[in-house]
Amino acid sequence: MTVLTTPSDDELLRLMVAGDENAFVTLYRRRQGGIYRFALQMSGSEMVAEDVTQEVFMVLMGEAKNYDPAKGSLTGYLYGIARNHVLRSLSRDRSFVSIGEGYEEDGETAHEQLVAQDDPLGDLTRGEVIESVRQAVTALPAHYREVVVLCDLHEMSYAEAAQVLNCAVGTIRSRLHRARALLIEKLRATGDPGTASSIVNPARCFA
Amino acid sequence: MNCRNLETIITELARNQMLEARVKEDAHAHMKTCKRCAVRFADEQTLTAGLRAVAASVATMETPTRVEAALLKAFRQGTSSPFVLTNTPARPIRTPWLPWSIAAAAAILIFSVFALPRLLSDDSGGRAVQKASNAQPAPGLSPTITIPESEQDEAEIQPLNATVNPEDDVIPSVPRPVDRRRAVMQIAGLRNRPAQRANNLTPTTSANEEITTDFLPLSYSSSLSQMDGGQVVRVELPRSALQSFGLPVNAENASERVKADVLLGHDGVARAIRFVR
Repeated sequence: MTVLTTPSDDELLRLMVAGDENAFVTLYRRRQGGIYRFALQMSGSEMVAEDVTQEVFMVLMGEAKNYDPAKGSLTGYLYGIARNHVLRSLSRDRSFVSIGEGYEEDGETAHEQLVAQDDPLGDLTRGEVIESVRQAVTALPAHYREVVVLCDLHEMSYAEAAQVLNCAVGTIRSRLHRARALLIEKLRATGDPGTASSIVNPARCFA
Repeated sequence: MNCRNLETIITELARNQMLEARVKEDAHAHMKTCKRCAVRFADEQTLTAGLRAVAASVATMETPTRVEAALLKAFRQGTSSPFVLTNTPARPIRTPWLPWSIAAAAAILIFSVFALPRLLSDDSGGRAVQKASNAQPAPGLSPTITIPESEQDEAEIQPLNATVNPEDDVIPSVPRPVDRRRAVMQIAGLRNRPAQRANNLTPTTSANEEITTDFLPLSYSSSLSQMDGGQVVRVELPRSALQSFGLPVNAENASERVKADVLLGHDGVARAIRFVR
């Protein structure tokens, strides 16, 4: 009986450093999709996502020995590189960041045009509403956006996201909570301010 | 459980994260009695569904195949030289370090145009021609020479390349910065052509029937045989400079000019000289 085993990321990386081209290709094909989508969801730009993905693996090829398995998974390491490149790209190109600048810490929004004019939360199966949610995520400030992308869109645990963002798990948790509140407020803002305000002021009732 | 307590777990609750069964029961029990929290929870659940729909909408999106091809090419280049990548641009147009590369290239170009000619005129043209030993020293020649300052200022740099025209005897006596600039650019081009450079270092009669002496060392500091490359530049000197190398000079035509090739190391220091007729 033949037992087929799938090599781990760390094993593939070790082979890759030794010059194994197949290991590199396998590792790339295994991880490129997530990295690409993360960069796409963070930047909203396919061009940036493509560049970031390329840079991530270029860095991996050149600095693979900097990866320490004791500090976290290779996936987290790659996402961390991608995140740094995305933020660098966003800081260079303010055209992507300008959308997010409409959000303030107190939850005020300045880009109402990004939200669909009907009730977006009423039927999220429609394509245009999905697009509204996507735009609302893209419009979040970067430090909120990245936790939403990692935890909600990439279904990472708080610990994994904390490794990527190099911060405490509690920070991830609180940021995600706040980011989701901002998203809900954004998506409900049109025509129903009462409901929105009730969402962002949850401590009125102590039943 | 009250609303405040529910708020602390509502994200995890809506995202179906791991929670104690008792906490979940308390939360749902609270929402049955608090309409506002029920609406809040419904919003969170709807948002979760929306985010999952967004995630599903891009689940099949992947990097274009050209990126893999470019990376694979870079990988092969990296493995051919003990896995130290030189940050080769797989797609040079949009790589973030491209502006820095352009800036560096511009700096090198500016240096080549403005600073290098001055260095060449100072070093090889002859201001401080300090200078070198040779693997093939010419018998009877003093290996250390100093070109008189009055003669050094008259030195005219010309590039030596494959298109040197021996019939072009008209060389301006006054140094022209434009010519030097052009010369430097051509010299820079020679740096990437080792075969041609090797030919230039051969102290024999050129294909254009120029007669040259052997390269005469200008200092003991290094051996020509140990040089890993360099540039040869054509200069013009007063014939009296031949005396400094122990070569015979007719006093009647001592004021005439004679062509010479100066061999420069990578550091820009003149290593050797040969005379051309």
